[in-house]
Amino acid sequence: MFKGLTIGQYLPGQSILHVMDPRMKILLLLFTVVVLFLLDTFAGYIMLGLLFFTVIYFSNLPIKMIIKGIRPLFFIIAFTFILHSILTEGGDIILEQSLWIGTITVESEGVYRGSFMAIRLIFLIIIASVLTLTTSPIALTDAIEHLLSPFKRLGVPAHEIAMMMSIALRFIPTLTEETDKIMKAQKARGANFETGNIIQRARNLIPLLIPLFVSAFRRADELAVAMEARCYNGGEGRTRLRELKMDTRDYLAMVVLISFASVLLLLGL
Amino acid sequence: MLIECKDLTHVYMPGSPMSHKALDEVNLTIDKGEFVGIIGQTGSGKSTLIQHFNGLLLPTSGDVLIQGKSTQGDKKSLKDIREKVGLVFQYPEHQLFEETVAKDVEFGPKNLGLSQEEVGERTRYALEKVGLSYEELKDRSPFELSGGQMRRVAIAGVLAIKPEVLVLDEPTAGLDPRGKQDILDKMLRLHREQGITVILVSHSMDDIAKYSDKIMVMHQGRLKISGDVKEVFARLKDIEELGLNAPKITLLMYRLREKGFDVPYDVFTVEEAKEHLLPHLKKGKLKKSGSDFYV
Repeated sequence: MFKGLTIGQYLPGQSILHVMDPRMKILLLLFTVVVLFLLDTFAGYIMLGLLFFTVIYFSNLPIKMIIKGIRPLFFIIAFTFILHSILTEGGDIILEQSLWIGTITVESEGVYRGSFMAIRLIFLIIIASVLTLTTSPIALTDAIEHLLSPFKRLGVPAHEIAMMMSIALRFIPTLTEETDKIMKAQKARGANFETGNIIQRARNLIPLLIPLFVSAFRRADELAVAMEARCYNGGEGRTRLRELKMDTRDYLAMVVLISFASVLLLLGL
Repeated sequence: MLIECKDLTHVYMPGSPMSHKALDEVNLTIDKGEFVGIIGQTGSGKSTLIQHFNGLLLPTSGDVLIQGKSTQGDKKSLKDIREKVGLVFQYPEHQLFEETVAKDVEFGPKNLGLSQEEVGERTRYALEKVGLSYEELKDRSPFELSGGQMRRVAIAGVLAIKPEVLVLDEPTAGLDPRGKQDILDKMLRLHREQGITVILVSHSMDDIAKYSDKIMVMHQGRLKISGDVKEVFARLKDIEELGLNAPKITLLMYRLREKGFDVPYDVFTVEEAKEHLLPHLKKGKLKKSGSDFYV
């Protein structure tokens, strides 16, 4: 269903976006999301779109791939658009249709709101894709740990959250492979995963799920022992091989983005 | 002809940047009652090849025929093929899932829709063939057994389907030497007593040479060398070029022969070698043309 989804994928590279500090990338992403929801004219979105295009150009990412990444979420975008078109009132009536649930009217204001929401969603997907495509999962979790560390005083286990995230990310391909293997092994014994009603199908999954859980627990156990054998005892006093360091280019990116957004907002776009 | 591959080519993830040709126009035939060894380095396509034998993978191009029937037919014929060709994956104990050993072994025969009586009979048969006691283990949880026992239960789970062909992918990986030999001996007995065709995939030249009648050498997705054991090892140079080696005992015989000793080099098991070498040792010296070596 989500084949071709670019959010969460990583394409190694050497572009300016790849080498930027991941913390700055996350902060700028959050900032852009806020701006995205403050803009409410088409001109503003076109300007923002041009900015995205420039950023993608500098990141050396294949633009085709990013556009393809929108496709799996097309249904959600279309659904949002249609819902907004129907439910928002105001402006000229574009379409009026009697249905068994009552009369549905599509008014111009609704189409506006709907297209804004659709554009916002598409832009969200694009920037989230650009972030994960240019940032390795390790850098991403490192950055999240740093950004969460001020909340440690409030009892947020920043290091543990980041560690869990990186372990989870690390084991996704492993478990996918394992699932595939167990599925094949049970198929070879005549198991059937494709037919039957929902209850039958759920029951047919038992020969897949139990070995999968067993192996996940075994791996977790082995990993815990291996980590302990290397003296892991949480984030306290832990040093890093690669220290995150903000560079001139990071501050430059921040200044560029903030001034660009201020201009857009001051112009009332 | 039991299994036939015609120009079998398999490409993983075709059309994507990660596209990878795992099998490249493989042609082979396996006849009923053979014990075939498939050997090759990691990534040579062995595992991909055997998954075509029961239709778990389908050819990208070419065809695989099981008793003349293509694996690319309808669901019904695929079911028949999986009943005929039993496949034991690497580390098969990772597929165990039931509460008791007996229930786990029953999974296969139950999927065939056999009567309860027949299912029970086959379970007992399969467990005994792998050297486990049905009475002792039937109510135990498979997860509390030893590694070697789990492996045997998992193999029994495939044997209970009573396949005509048993495909074993590295069945002894991670076992101790005694467990290794014991499992392979059990498979050889099945082959001899029940006439089951066995296809053994292994890294170990020594095992392959000891048990198989016929050897197939895979290299980078192609079937490079194929023939009976003697034919294949007669091409020692070719085998070495593919990054593989003859069994250690064969290498020893080669070396002795190079030094001029009168011993045959087509010897693949230690037992056989013993017969050839012992007479020389009894005489207290090895005959070499020209001079004598004392041992």
